Amino acid sequence: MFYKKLILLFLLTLSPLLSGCWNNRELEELGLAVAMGIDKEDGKYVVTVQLVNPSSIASKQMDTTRAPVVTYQEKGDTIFDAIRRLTKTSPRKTFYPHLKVLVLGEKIAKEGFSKSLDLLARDQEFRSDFFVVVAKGHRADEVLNILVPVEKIAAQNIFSKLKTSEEVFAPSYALTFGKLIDDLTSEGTEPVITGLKITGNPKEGEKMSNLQTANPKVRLKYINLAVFKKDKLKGWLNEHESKGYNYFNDNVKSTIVTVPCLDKKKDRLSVEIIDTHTKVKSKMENGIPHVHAEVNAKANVGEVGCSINLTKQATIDEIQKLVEHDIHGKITEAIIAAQKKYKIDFLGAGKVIHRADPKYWKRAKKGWDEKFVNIKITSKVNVHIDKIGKNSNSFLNEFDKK
Amino acid sequence: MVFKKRRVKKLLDNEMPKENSTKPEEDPATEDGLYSTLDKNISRIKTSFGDSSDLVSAKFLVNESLKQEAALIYIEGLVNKQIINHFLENITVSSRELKNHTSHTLSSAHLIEHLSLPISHLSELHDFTNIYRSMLSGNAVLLLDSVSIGYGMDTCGWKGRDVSESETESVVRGPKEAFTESIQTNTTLIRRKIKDPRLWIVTKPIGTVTQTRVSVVYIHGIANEKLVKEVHERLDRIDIDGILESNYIEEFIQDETYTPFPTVFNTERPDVIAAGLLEGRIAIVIDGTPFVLLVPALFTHFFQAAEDYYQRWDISTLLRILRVSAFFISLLGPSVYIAVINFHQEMLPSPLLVSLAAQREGVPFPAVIEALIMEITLEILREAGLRLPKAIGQTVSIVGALVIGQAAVEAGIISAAMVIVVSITAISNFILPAYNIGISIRILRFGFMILAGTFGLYGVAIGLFALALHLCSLRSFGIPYMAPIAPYIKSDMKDTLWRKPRWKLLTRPRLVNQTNINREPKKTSDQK
Repeated sequence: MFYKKLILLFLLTLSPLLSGCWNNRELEELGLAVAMGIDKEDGKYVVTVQLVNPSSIASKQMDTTRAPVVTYQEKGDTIFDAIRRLTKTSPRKTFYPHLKVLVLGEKIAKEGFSKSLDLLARDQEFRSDFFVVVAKGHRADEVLNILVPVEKIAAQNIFSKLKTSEEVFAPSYALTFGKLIDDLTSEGTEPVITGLKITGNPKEGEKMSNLQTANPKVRLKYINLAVFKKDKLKGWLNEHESKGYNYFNDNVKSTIVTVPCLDKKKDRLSVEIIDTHTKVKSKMENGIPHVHAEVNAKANVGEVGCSINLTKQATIDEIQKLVEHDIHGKITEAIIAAQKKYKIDFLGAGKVIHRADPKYWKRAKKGWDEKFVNIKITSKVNVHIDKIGKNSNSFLNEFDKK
Repeated sequence: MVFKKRRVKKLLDNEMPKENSTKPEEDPATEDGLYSTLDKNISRIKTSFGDSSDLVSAKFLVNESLKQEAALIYIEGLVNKQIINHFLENITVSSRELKNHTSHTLSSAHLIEHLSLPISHLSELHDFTNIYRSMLSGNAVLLLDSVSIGYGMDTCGWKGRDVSESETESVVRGPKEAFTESIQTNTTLIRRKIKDPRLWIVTKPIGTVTQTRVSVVYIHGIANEKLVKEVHERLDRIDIDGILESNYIEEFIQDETYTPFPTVFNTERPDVIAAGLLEGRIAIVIDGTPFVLLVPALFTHFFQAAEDYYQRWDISTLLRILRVSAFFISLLGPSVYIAVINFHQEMLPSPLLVSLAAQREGVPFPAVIEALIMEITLEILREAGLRLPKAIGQTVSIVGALVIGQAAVEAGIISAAMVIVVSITAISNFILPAYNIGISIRILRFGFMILAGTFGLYGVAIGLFALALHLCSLRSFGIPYMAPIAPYIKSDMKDTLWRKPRWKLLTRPRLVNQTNINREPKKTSDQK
């Protein structure tokens, strides 16, 4: 009993040391950073931070005259230096756990961004669940300065837009910071980051007037994926290649595939992919690795633009084949882009081979890029159509008969 | 050991004179004994009462031929006048009959035995102490000339409150009657629930001045004998001039004084007491208060409402879980809010944080101070509402709700979120069926708020650890307070955080009742 008490006392005296990050901060003294932009200028880092202006966002005390977000910008030799310099202009200490998005300017993306990321990985205030995007053809601050409709906080807009477009359309890829670090450090793969583009004149987008029209002139829009070699931007994939990349890497949750309406070539029908699973395997064939991706997809018929007989299994089978062909085509385009166009293994084929045959990988990892262009990458797609919606045949069938 | 023995002896010494005073017939030579002349006796009683105006002494002749003088002494208001009148009418008639039938040789002392009196209960009183006690408990005392014995007659009948609906523990379904201030009514109410000769009621007066009747009620054979003995011992140890409410007793007999948690249960519902007795617990009924104590009282008992057993088990279980959550909300609501707002902002979803930040904007106080202000305001309003005359009550609620709640938020002194947190905390407090466990939370809440304000959630965690340790160290009449959770007794968990269906509640709580565990002895003995 005495020893138990002694141990308890010992543990209790230890407990104050466990306090961790317990510095007391009042909520109103925090500048909530929701987005951060990193760029380079004259050899110095330019850091842009988007802070929330709480009183113009919270529904009750809405102050519509003030912009919902404010951006602050500073230059510094390092990121941390620049962040601390921000206190010269920002009234509050910035608070980063709620960071949603990190925007990399195109310039720093081309020159290599890896050296700027250590602080974000090291500091306890940064989580690793914010998304990373690349501003296509813009500086990072230009993107963060745009005031956006619907979601008042620009960063929230960027965040949720990326999430939904990844979930239901698929050419974009919601890459979190943690995953990016993972991609940068692991062997046999290269990072791929979604691009973000401003439509319209960026200067106009900074004004509140951009929010006051039903059809804002300046918007942020996701475009396709950027391909990196190590940490340097090498080029951009088109939409097909981007989708193909996502199919290959099992990133597709749901998307739409439009295929020709069987024999009526100029009519289209769209199929909603509701669930896909990709398994990538690798085998050795005559000393050359063969990477094979098998995509299993469930789909629903979503829209029929012609009169066909959907009640027949044969029709459904034919549609399935068309969809399979379409997906297969996109994956092939992505493979060609990787092996022929950029000669960069952004598909992560090396990673698959590493897992399947570690011995071979040990020999092959040096100069993998040259070997990569010669390996065989194939794919097979199985699509299964489950449902055809509320109607069996389209009303167009009756309409055409008339 | 030596020390212990001495203490026991001392205790016994203390008790000796008490016993003497209650049994004077062993020692008739004391000055407390009655005189043989009636007038002397009457004048002594009158002086003892300081000629109080409510003291009535009616002198009359019992038997005209014997010239037997008698007096009836009682206190107005404590007696039922009808019984007195009825008695006086009868005694003259009865003595007249006596005159016709018996000889003149009948001595005064035996006269009373030959009278047929319309009195249910007659007790002989040999000294003044007992006469006073008898008079004060509503009896009329009959004194005869040249007889040094007084006769206490049961004429008790003062106006008391009728049995009415329970105000503090109301139910939707279930018996509605509640105890009253009269101990007789109260013990009767219990007896009516448990029709068994094994329901034993032991009554003793406590309080040297008030002589309050305190009854220990238990079911013999179900209640643990050791526990009964312990209750009696603790009651006997009480040395005080007066007992006016059950809390007087509670504070004397509880195991641990320096704790915010109650270790004695109180209720004004006879059905709750009956249920407790059936579990093997012991009830203490105190004259003059409708609140009856029940011991031992464990932590889980304070979460059990009477209605849990009058409704289906599923809803009862749901309500139990709700109560436990409400307990924690009430205890930790403001402190967790403070901790999250001040220390762990990253815990909140961004939209919520932004909204809270907007509300906090312009609030001049740190969150801890803000919370303390609101909590103290709430306590003031609560206390004021409790004591106010009903007519002014409305004013307070308007001032409280409108002025303090709304105006403080609109003026930007208090954030709206804080008002929400404090309100939900206060409401959660009322969900607990036992009022006194709510009080302990009210006290502890402030401690937790300060801990949260200085150490954040870490402080709250430390506080919870300390609380758990404290709760586990408590005992109620020797039984661990946290049983059956700690020590863990699987069979008793059936009626704690959840309530199993009635037919599964076959055994009595193991710790409270060590001897007679089975509720349905027949059935279980068949199984074995």
